Amino acid sequence: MNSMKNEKQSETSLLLEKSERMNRLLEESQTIAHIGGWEYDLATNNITWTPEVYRIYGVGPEYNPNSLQNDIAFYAPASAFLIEAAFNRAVKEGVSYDLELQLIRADGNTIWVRTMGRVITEDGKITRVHGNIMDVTERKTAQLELARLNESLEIRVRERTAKLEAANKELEGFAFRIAHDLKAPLRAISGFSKMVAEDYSPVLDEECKRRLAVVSENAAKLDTLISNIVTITRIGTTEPGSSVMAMREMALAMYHEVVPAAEIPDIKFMLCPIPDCTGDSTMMRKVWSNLISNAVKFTAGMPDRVIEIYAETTDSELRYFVRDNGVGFDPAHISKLFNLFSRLHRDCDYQGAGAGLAIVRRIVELHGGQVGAECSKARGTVFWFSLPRSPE
Amino acid sequence: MESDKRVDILLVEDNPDDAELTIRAFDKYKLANNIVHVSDGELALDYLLARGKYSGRDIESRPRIILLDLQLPKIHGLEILRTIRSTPQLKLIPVIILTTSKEESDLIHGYDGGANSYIVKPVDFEKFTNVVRELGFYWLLLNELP
Repeated sequence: MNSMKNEKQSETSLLLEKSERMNRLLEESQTIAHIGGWEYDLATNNITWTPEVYRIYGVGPEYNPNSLQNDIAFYAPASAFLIEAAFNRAVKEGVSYDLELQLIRADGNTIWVRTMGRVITEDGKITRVHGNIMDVTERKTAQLELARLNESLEIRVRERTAKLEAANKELEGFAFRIAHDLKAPLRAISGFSKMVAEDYSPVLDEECKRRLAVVSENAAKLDTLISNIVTITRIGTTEPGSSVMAMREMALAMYHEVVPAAEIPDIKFMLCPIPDCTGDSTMMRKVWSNLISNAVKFTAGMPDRVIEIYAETTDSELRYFVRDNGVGFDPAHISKLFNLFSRLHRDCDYQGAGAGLAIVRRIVELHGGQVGAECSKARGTVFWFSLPRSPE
Repeated sequence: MESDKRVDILLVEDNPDDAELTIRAFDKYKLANNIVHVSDGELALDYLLARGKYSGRDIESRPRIILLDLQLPKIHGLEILRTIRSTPQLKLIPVIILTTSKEESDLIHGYDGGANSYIVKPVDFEKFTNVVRELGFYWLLLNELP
């Protein structure tokens, strides 16, 4: 008799223990997650809160949650309006809700909560509404801060872009004004020295004429330099156009523009079929004219001059080559070749302000391509530029 | 009388050295007999409209061509061009814009504004005189002027 009673007792206490443990676990998990549960019984009008709800509201255990009005009063005015409507809808129509609202705790602090409510029906009638309430202040404030930062970032980016565009425009204008102001005196230097040489020719000896020629030649060099600087500045600041370019025709046209008519018969010019591509044709013409002009310069004076233009195609790029059998350069200096104003030959032998290749590089890079050069005894000098292939 | 002699070229150029080079180039090739040079935009309009300093002039006596620099003091070259094109007595005069600016916007404005030609002043004097010579040859000798 006693052993059966004892068994029952231990069974009961085991169950009790388990139930207590579950309760503790639930309560702890609610505390950790800042989530509380609540229930509204339509029959008794009673409201039950789990401990975490009290904590969220910031009230002690003596607070009686049974008055719906009081409970709702804790919400910020706009939020209170929303929760009341949602709750009433749940009670009357059984519609669940899930809202993010602002709550003013008993201590006066405003927090963000997420509250959900669902109905329980028995025999087709709504008997209870229950749900949870969760403190989401941290997440919500972070979210709002992020949105605010994003918006102000966008504004700042737009402002900076506008400023940059304005600065670019000004620079372009500035470069042009400088070029204009620098070129005028150059015209005078070139013009007047030549005028003197012409008009006073009978009374000037050869040496005098030579010196005057030096003056105007240097004016010409300075002119080229200024033009190159303006070109390079413009390349950085203008949006490149985009049109289909017939590269073979362009190269041919530039060849005839660059090579003095007298020299054309002296050069063996081989223009292979090369593919068309897309880009800014004004800029690309400069690329061709600079590369061809180099080839012409560096084969100058040779008995047997060859300039060849050809291309290679890969899946991703079109590579164009300009080869000449001329003087070439020391392969060790390749890295400096495309820099502004670098030169690898003595000034008196080869004219040129040294900016041509820098312009080529700038233009090609603006199109997303690359430049390079190679030099060997067998093949001569090869300058190449690659352009990305537009996706077919 | 001087006033009977038709003016071949009205040169609107503020840079005296450029003006001298231009006039000399025309002289060299004997392209023009009578060149009037004004050094700013306001004087150009005074001349063309026979007002101010030039109020004694006969407005019907028009220059055969106008060489117009763009970067001018007081009134910008394009403004002058607009005025010329919108004045009945003046709008048929060929205007050639002579400037260092290759700026595209200038170019477009120049053509939109009704310039007949747009030529860059090269630094190289030989090229400069060639340009002037071709200009003069075309506009003064070849072209049928209104």
